[in-house]
Amino acid sequence: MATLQELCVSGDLVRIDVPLDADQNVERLIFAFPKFTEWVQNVLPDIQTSILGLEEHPDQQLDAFLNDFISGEALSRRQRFRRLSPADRGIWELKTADIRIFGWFVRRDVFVATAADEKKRLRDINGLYGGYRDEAVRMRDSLDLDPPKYVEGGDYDDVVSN
Amino acid sequence: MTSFQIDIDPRKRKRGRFINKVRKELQKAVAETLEQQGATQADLARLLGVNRSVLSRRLNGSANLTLSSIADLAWALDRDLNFSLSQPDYENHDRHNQVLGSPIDIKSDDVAEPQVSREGGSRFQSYHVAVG
Repeated sequence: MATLQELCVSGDLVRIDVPLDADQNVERLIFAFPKFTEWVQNVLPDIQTSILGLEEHPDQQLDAFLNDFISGEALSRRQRFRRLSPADRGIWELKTADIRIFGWFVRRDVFVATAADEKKRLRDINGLYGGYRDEAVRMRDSLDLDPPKYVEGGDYDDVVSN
Repeated sequence: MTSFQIDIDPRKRKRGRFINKVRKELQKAVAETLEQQGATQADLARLLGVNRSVLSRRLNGSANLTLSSIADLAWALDRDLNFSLSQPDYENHDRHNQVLGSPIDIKSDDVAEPQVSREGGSRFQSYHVAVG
């Protein structure tokens, strides 16, 4: 069994950082599997917004979201983060206008991202949502993380402090 | 500890975060005003003369904000608008080497250096702006 830090040292996870503004501090943490960071590096730069005429490219959306999350900005329930059903699996999605990030909360304000994809693809491809949810459960099961591995139950206040 | 940062052009980052910041200010002002007045987003949309879905998309990031739409919202909410451009506070940027209020124990050397652009003065040397 290992801590999040030890899993980062071993390369199983990486910690996501963003440059913060002068008046911001680190209040929440995001860790990620390599699958997520590979998507950010290799796929995200080439995708386009699915929203007609929207100024913000998906990479700007993700940067702004990560800045909000890590700096502890208030996050609207369902609009910025949402519990996936069934609730007892403890899988959540983080949301921007065009992107969905899947994963779970190890404890309040500490998220582990397993994968990300475009909202449009998730809408268009039947079963993709369930696939990411089930994959997140499998990745969590196989991760050698100290228990408790995730926040059980589905209360929004239990996973994000606002 | 290894860490990862999204690779985004500083200019794009500045633009994206500015739009996000404006949108959050609007969301906050709308929520406060509607709660104080016992009104709904539909009431606000009617006052603005737009469809409720248009207002909702502007606020949730699914539609662009224009300066006019921001000013209209400020009018409808009876709020003053303030806009300023300030010099960066580099001294305060440097304190991000310290992690304050972190929910888990992290060594300070685990935190990546903030990407602070210090090229402000020179940026203008290679650009010419024509006016008039």
